[in-house]
Amino acid sequence: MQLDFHYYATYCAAYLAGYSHEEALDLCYSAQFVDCCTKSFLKSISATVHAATSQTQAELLDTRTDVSGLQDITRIWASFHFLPKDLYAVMPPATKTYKNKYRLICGPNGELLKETVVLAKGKSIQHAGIAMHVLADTWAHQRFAGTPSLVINNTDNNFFEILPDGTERKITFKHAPGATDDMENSVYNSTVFNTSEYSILNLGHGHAGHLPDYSFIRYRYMPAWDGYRECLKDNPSDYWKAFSQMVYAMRFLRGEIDDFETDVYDEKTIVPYREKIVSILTKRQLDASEDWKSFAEELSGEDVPDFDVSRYNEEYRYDHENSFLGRFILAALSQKSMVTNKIFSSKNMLAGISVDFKRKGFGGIKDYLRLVSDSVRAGE
Amino acid sequence: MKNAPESIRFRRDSHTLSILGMGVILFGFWSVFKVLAQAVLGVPLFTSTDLKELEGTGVDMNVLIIVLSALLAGDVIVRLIVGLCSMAEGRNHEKRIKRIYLVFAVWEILFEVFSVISVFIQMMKEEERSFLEMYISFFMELSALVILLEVYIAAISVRKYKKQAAKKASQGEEQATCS
Repeated sequence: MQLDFHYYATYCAAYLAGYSHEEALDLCYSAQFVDCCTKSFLKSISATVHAATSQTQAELLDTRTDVSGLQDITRIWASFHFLPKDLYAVMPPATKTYKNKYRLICGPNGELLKETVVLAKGKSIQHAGIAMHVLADTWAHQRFAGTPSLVINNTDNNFFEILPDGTERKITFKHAPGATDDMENSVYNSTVFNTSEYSILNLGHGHAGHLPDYSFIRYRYMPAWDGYRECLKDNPSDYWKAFSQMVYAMRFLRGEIDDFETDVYDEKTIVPYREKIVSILTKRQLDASEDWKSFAEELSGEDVPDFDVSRYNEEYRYDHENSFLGRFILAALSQKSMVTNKIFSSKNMLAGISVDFKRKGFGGIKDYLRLVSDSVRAGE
Repeated sequence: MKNAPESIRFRRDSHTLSILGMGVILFGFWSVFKVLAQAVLGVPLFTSTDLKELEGTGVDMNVLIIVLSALLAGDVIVRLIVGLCSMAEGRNHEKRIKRIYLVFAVWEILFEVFSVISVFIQMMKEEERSFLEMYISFFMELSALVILLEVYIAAISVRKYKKQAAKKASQGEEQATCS
């Protein structure tokens, strides 16, 4: 998903869930900021790099794909963009190495999604924003894993776009970084094939290009891990579910609902706007920001400013703990810590080691000390 | 989605053809590479026993090398045809498929069976060549044989699926015309 959904659509969902205009703005800013909070950005504001929620292409190219480098990549991408659906997934006999990667495949309505949303309850609005980013991405990025792996994330040329009239058109992929996608002729950009299992080119949905990020597209293809089975990726339907699940999750975060259950969607709240939302989701365009923005402004009657990545930088220089970015960083550390711990607890070392401070005391990276003190203060 | 077992098998076999087609070509060049490497490194092409046997027949060594080279070139060409055609069949490039390539594949399979047996017998005899040398040759020949067999089986399966699909399509057309 891109800015159109993470920022403007999340604003709409937050507003529909009952947040005020100001709260919804902070929440959607945090949701979009997950894609911008890279190590380079954190260094530029003198913040801890361990709170990184994304990586730029330059950072990825610079990362060594040795064990610790791979664990660093996996912690970031599995925690924020490719939340694993089932860490204990039962599968046909395979090696432990393959099983570990297979179990990191992203998908909606997993146990970790519930943990993510529950973790954000009673926390800052920034934490809620992060949770909404993670939730939305489980729909868009399903069937890909947040760890570099050719055997999981590879696809072949068997891609067909299903057009609105039901006909199919072969999708052609080109490998020209920076080039725009040509949706009229179904020619899209994707990462180039690389035979190395752990190449960063085999991270996430790179081989499917930006197709998972466009709300309008429907296509069929073969994921590398699914034994030559074809699957249908119906983005308009998935994005609709993501939107309605976000509304449901945010109503839970606001305390309107006692328990968060997976596979539950608040369609009742959004049904009056169904036509408008579906028209935005199905419109053939590479960026739906303008449409979502006008819908957002129509909903609240307020101006929704464009996303500005450096909006809160100055404030952070004077207050590291209680500023907007201070709270975002704490929330990011919390989410990353929780997901890493769950992956480690499933006897999967791909995200690295996690120390349970309740039993063994604090250990590891000292930047997490603030998170631990905060959790102890909150009695968790 | 076409996820019936036969569709999955068709996709798997097409993939097998496309990958192993490349394997057949590479194994074709392996024979050339082996002979060239022997020539460059000064490893004799024939054992002393072979040479003694040849002396008795009165065949000229130059003629023998020319015949051997021609056979080697022929083998590479046949393997190229089999490899390229199986890759084309796997990728569904109908125009590039020479249907006869399976006959060549069968020929190569028979040739490989003979090779595997002869290398195995030589390995057991433990002649001048080291065991390791023979061991590598044996496994290379065995791998080439398995690849060719897989290509043949996958090609038959792909053709069977295509035939059935075409039959179903024509039946569907007939029904549409009747109605």
